[in-house]
Amino acid sequence: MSTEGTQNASDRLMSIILAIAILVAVVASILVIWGGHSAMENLKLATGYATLIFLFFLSMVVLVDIIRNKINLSEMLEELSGGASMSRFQLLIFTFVIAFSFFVIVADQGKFPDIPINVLALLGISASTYAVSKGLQVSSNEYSEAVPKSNDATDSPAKLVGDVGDEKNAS
Amino acid sequence: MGLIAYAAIWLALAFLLSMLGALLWKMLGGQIALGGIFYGDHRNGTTYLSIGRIQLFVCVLMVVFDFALGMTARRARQAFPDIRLIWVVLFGVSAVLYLAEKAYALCQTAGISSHKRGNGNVH
Repeated sequence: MSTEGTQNASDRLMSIILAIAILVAVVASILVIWGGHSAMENLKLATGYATLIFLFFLSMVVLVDIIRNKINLSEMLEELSGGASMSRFQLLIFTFVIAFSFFVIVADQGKFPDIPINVLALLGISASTYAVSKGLQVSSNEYSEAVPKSNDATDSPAKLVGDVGDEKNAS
Repeated sequence: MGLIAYAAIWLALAFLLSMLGALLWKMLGGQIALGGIFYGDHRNGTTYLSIGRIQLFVCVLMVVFDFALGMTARRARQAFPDIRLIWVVLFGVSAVLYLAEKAYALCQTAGISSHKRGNGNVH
C-alpha cells in the first residue's frame, strides 16, 4: 500500500473515531438534559451542551492535526530570514501566561473577569512588538528584492546615490 | 456550579494543557526551532549577537515572573493581579529598544544609512 493510501486509511479511521465520539457525547448530553426541567431550562442546557461539544471537537481536530503535522507549526517562531524570532516567542509566552491566568479566574469565579488596564497594556505591547518587528522584516526583504531589479547586482544603493550626485555635479 | 460548567472547565483545561504540551514537545524535539533566537540579521544575511533580543528576553522573564507571583497571591483567583506600572513601562522600553536595534541593523548593512550619507560606502 502506498504512503498516500495509508494516509487516507488513517484519515478515515480518525473520522470514524471522531464521529463515534461526537455521537456518544450527544447521546450523553441528551440523557443529562432529559430531567424534569421546564422547556426553557432544557433549551438552555441543550444550547450549552451543543456549544461545548462543538468547541471541544473543534479543538480536538486542531490538536490532532497539530500532532500529526497536518497543521505545520515548524515555522511558527521563525523570522522570514530563517532564525527564531524573539518577538514571536515573547508573544507566545504572554499569550499562554494570560490564557492560563484567565482560565484560573474563570474557573474560580464562574464569570467573565474584569481585565485590568495594565494587563491589557502588557498584551498590547507584546502584540505591537511582534507586528512592528514583522513589518520591519518584510519591508527590509522587499527593499532587498527591489534593489537588484533596478540596478546591477554589484551596485549598492549607496552607489546609486553617489551616481546621482555625480550626474548633478557634471551638469 | 452545574455539570455543564464543570465539563467546560475541564475541557478548557485539557485543551490548554494539550496545546502547551504539543508546543513544548515540538520545541524540545526540534520541530519548532529556537536556534538563533538571540541573533539578529543584517540586511546582507550576516548575523550578530543581539543585545536587544537578550534584554527583551530577560525583561519578558521578569514580567512573567512578577505576573506569576501575583497570580499565586491569595486574592489572585478572583481577579488578575495588579501589575505595577513600572513593569509595564520597563517592558515597553525594552520592546522599543529591541525594535530600534533591529531597525538599525536592517538599515545599517546595505545602505539606508549609507544612502543618507551618500558616501558610497557600504557597511
